[in-house]
Amino acid sequence: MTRPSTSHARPAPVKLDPDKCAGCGACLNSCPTDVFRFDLESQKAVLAYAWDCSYCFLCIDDCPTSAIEVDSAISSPRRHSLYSNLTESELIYREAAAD
Amino acid sequence: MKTEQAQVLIVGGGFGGVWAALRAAELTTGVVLVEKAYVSRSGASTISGGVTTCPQDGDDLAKWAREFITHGGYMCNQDWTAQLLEGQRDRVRQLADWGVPISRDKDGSIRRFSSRGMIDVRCMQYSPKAAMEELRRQALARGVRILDRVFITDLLTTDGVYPTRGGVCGAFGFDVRSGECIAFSARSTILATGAMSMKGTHQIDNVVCDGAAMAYRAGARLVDLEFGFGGTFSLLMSKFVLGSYNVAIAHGATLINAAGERFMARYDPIRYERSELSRVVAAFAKEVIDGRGPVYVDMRGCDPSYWQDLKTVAQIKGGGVLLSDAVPDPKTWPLAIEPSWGLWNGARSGLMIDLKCRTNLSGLFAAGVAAKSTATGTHASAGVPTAFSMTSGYIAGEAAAEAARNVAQHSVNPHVLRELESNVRAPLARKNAKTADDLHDELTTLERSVIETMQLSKKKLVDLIDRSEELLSEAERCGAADVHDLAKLHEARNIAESIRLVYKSAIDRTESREQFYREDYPETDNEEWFCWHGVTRTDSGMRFDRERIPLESYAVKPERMTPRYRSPIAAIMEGSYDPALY
Repeated sequence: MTRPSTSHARPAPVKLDPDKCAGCGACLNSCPTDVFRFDLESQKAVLAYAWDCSYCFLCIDDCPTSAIEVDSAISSPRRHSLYSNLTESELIYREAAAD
Repeated sequence: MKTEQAQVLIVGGGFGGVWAALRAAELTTGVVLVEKAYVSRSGASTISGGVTTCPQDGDDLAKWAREFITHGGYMCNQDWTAQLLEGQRDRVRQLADWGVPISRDKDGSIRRFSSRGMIDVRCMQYSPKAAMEELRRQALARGVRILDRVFITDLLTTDGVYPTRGGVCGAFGFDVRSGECIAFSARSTILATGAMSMKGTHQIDNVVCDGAAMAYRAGARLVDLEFGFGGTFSLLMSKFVLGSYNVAIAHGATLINAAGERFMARYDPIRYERSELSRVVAAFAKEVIDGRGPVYVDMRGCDPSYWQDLKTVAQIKGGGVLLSDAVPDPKTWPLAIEPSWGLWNGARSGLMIDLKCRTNLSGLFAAGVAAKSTATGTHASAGVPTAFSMTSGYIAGEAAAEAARNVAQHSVNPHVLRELESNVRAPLARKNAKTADDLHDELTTLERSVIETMQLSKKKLVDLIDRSEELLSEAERCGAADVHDLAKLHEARNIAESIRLVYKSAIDRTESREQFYREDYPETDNEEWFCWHGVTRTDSGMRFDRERIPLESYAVKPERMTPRYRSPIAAIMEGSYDPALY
């Protein structure tokens, strides 16, 4: 088995609630990066390649039972930011700065 | 291995590909559209900001064309410019007739707004996902055979040789779920594979560099690859989603620095945030370099229709999240914002095509942002990539269907197909090797922050070329655990192949021009570089060429062409930018 890459060393942004999944398979068409597969035994969708989620949110609208969530707070380690050293509160605009 | 036959084969199911399929199917049977994801849920067309150029009856399109040509630095095929605007008028009418949701004024007419960098040219906002869903329905209704989840890895050549001395006669790939290889023999092949990009930056991770790489390997001529960098603005606080930057600023959003200053006033006191994207990005970078960051988007002045549109038209990307009552609410509080700057070619580079979307290889056509749009030059408005995709698709579909009538079906040498199959599947047999994800991680480190990526130099480019060549050779040694990984590995290989070409093109261009900035050649040099810059694979390696732009034969000409001048980005970065000069 090949070793996990650094991209995989993080929680996956997409989550699928098996209790809510009705097994319609819509998400298997939705996903541009093909993260879903259909599990014949449970007759439900499963997240086979969750780390490949690229935050397009298409599956969220397509799922009729709202079984899928994408947490955009879990950002891609491949993204470059000039502000990566700033905390969220430091990113809030302060009128005081204008004084 | 399965074999399929088509009159017209279209690779890629975004705007370019589906419009091509629709038009081809009006003229011939045997139209096959292959897509590595699912047509209507793939590519930039589906999850874009939904902005497109909106010419309508009664508009003076010559005036619009003049604006594209002058703002594009005259680096246009002006016949293409006219063809784009006339074609787009029909595409917009068709989208409206189909009932695709388009943002409208109270009287029901399409609401139009002036787009980034433009004054006369008007854009509209539509629902991109609904548009793609309608296109899929229309394609199926016209008898187009759609094959979803098929990844094309290579073009088939008439002589079975790469680069070919003949032409293109189909394509080869595999089903991304079953792994079965499929060879498509076609009289005409249209490459409509979308933008050149990397994974991780644009939230559209299946848009990579497949088209450019397979076209280059087959011997097709690509142009202006060094203009393939672009940017998108995104909010820093990821729980808020902006929708489209272009739409937001058209409705009253502004950019301010940490001191609350609307800094674009210093760079472009006429168009402000609607200036050329590269200048806005450079100004952003300069503010941060000079210690005036972070930069914020101030949406307090957005008119109510903007928030309404986010809800009703931009159905994707969490408009609801943006409009939550969370603190700080973007309606009452500026939010930190930054642009990405990286590979995102948006029709500024790609396969060179003529007025009928023909490439230099017989049998091969290109459409959408896989092709270079010569309709627009170094700068185009925000709606142009979608407009060019739709209209070049339509034209390519028509030309490919007509050409298919006059050529025989080519039978591909089974030996060539077996070799392709063996090469495509080889990584599945490599155990304990580096993975596709490792390779994608490393590829994305070639691109760094906007400040780094925007400022190129020979020293930087030599290093980037070395690293991209190393990654390209590593791609040949990587393994794939399953078919899903195999697709990602071929994507990584295509990115490595393409980014190497981009850097090689960049080091060959010894000037700066609009968004392309070299610290070691900060001037725009019209004597040497007023041209389309081509690259082709030959038996003896990479060959560059400069194709003269025949300005004398076009209607719109500059009063005088300044031979050399400081490029705008160079001036911004050096702190000497004078808006009156540009």
